[in-house]
Amino acid sequence: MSELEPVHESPSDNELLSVQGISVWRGENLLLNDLSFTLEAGQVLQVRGANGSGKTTLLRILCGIGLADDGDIKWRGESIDRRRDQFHEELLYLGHKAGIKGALSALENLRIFCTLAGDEQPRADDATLLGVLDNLALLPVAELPCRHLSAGQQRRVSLARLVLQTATLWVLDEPLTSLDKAGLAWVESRISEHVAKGGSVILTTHAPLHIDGVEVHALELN
Amino acid sequence: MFKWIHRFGSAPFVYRFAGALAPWIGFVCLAILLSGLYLGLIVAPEDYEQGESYRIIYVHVPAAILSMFVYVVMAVASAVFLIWRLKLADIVAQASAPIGASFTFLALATGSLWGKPMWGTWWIWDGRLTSELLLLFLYFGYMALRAAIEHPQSAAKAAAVLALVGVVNIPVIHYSVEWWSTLHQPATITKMGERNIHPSMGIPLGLMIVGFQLLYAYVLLIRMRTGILKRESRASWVAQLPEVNNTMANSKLSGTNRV
Amino acid sequence: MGIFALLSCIIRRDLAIAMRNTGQWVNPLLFFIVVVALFPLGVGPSPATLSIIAPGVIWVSALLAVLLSLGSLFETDFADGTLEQLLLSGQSLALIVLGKVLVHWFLSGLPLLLISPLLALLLALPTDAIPVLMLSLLIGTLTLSLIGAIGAGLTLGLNQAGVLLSLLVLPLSVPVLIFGSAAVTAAAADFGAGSQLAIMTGLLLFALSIGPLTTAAAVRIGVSGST
Repeated sequence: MSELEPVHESPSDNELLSVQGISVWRGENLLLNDLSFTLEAGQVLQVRGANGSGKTTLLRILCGIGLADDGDIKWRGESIDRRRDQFHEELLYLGHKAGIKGALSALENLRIFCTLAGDEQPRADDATLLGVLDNLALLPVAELPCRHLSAGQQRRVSLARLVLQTATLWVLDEPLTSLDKAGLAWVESRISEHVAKGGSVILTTHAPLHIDGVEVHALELN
Repeated sequence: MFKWIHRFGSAPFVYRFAGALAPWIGFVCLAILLSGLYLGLIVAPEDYEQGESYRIIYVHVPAAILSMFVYVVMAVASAVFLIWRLKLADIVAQASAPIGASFTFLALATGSLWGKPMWGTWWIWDGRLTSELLLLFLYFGYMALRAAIEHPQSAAKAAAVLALVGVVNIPVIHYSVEWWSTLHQPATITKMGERNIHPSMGIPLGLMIVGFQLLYAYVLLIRMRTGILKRESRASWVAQLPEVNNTMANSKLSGTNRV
Repeated sequence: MGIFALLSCIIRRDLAIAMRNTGQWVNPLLFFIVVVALFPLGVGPSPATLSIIAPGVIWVSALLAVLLSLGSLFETDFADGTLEQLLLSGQSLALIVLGKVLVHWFLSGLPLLLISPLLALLLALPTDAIPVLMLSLLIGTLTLSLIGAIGAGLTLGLNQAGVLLSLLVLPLSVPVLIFGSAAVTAAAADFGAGSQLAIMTGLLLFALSIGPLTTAAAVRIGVSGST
């Protein structure tokens, strides 16, 4: 799904993700209480809150890999449980865990991601992959098993997926953790490009965001 | 259809309905079990081959039947839970597991007791007893998995999948064990319940089977009520129940007393 | 994405990881050999006794070796977050599971089968029975990997997952054990083992039909339960 829907006048046509009445209990505590919001094409949503306020839990539920005690999530008007595979083809999730195999090199990890992303994706040859790794200053370690890389380097390997895979919705859990200034700027400019193309982003981060020409909506959890 | 299920499947309704129904089932169950035991243990004649010891079939056979029946109920309830997401079905499955395990254990224990006068040993790897033993292991696995998973929703789903895997495998396990036992044992041992049964023995056996079914229903209703209270402990209707109010007041009192 | 492209992607991925982690395939094999070697010490070295119990001993040891190795089937992918990425790839999870199970069998079942003639000699099993032993292990260990994967999915991320997995899967693996050792016993007594092997093939097809789909459901549940 590299072509995005044309932008319409009415906001309801523009709506990608609609979340209604999400509640999550952790034992006797109500972690998320009747949470509702919608996300339109071209919007960036920053989920804020202290540690343990349920940011990761919420993001996992939005992706369909976490359980809510109550509530409904719709993607383009259809429940995400019904159209799971279509939704996942349009989704890119960078989790709390990097999702990188330590035994494989950065190059091998990214090749697997590109293959699994499917036929609709532009075919990524090794030259493209190496070019992206070069942009992320990972070229010297591209052939090394990822377990030998630093935390920041591993984070960059998983961030490389932002340019290698095309997806409408990015869900990024603390993407800026252990990144240096250059890395931070790189992610911010990727987000602004993605939004310019009509994509949407939901992310959690403690760092303040400076994204050119993009209004960042905030969702406060407490 | 769905509205009907949701109305009558709603927790407060089921809780009250089960509470009203349980005593009646309990009384009928007690009457049937007592008359079945009287007819079976006192009125029915001695068996010409096995003497008095055959009378254990009045417990063994109903327990063995129920051990399978309860697993099937669990599997059906699990399927309903997975397909229609009816939480009540999961409560039925969860409440049934220990009851089914108890019936299985009873069938094993009585089978073993019966084996002492018949075979001269407490345990013999007879096909049916071995199948019962494996069934007990399946129940243990189900309960252990439920207990091991902390997240209540995923515990319920995982246990439901396991119950379904178990129920499609039970026939395969059963016939494998049958085949295995005929391979290893000469078929000279008289098995219980394979001959024609005289009505004087058949009627009490029938009564005992019905009585055991009702016993299952009775215990299930009580356990379901407990299960509903546990799941719905945060709901306002639970806090308003007189029995909950009283216990809470009592526990507060005893708490202050202790201090 | 085609079925074979997906399968080959997963198989190449898991094989590449296993190549750099020899313990994964060596440990179950060593376990198998050591357990079998314990039996003569337990029951005495008389070849007459050993040859009677040999089919059962080899089969029970193989069963335990396969189950022990199954603990790592999804666990490492779960721990580093690649499992949730596989779930979110939009590809058929049942096929991904099938690919992972095939690699698992290739690394833990196949070595058992290749070393089994040696163990048969240690336990004084008649050499005529060795082809049937290998054939029964070929069909049986694959079936066990498929059934055991369901247990591995259900116990994902739990404490003491290994013990629980065995508790869940052992009763389900009884048919494979019965017909596997019966086939070898029959072959050792110079009877044909064709019917037992045919039934085992039936069990394999049964496991192949329900295994991957059920495992996929179990893995989804297991991943969603973690926080």
